[in-house]
Amino acid sequence: MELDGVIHIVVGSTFGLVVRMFIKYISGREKVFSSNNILIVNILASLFLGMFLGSNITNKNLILFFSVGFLGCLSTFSSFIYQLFKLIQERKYLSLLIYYTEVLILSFLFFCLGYFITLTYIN
Amino acid sequence: MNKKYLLTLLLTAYFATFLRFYINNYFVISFVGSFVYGFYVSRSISNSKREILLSGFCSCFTSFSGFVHFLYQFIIQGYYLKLFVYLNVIVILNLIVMYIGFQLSRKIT
Repeated sequence: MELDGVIHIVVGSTFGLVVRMFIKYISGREKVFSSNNILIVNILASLFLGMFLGSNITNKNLILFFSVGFLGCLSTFSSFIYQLFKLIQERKYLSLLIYYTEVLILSFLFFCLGYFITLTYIN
Repeated sequence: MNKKYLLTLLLTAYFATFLRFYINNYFVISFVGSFVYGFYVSRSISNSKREILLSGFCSCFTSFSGFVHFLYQFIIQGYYLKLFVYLNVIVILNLIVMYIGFQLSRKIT
């Protein structure tokens, strides 16, 4: 991989990290979000991924910047698993099931939203 | 929040991103990330170190968008049963791996 791709990945991952830390910081301080920053971040990332896949980009550097750098650092899978793990430890099985379906359905809906918006407006 | 902490967080995130880019295998990435998260989540380390490890390394190493992208391959091919099975199997296996890491870190200390 040449230097151009490395720079794209570094810039993209910086943006992703800053946005994730910003959302975490805001949701910790204010009462606007109900403090579940991981859900917000993951749904935002699936919306962006839908828009990215719908717009059918073939530029290699743009793929590295957006898909590998920005979205990879913005979304987090292990924290999502840890939330489920914590619910199992507290023996709240019903809220585990509700939260699991909620995350999957919401991320699927937002993915489809982004995908079809870009399909209708760009292509 | 000082300069050294911020710089370490950024460098860890870059390292995790390049590691994810070179491994390029969804299963390995998610298992390693879950294991490390479960291993370090209840250890007695300082708060900034925990933030760097969990929020910097693990979160940048594993990605939810990669998970959605992996499942998207099944949607465009029309394998809806396969999609449903893979979805649940990945989450359950990751929970088991995280549990193993959690118990291992308890045994060691």
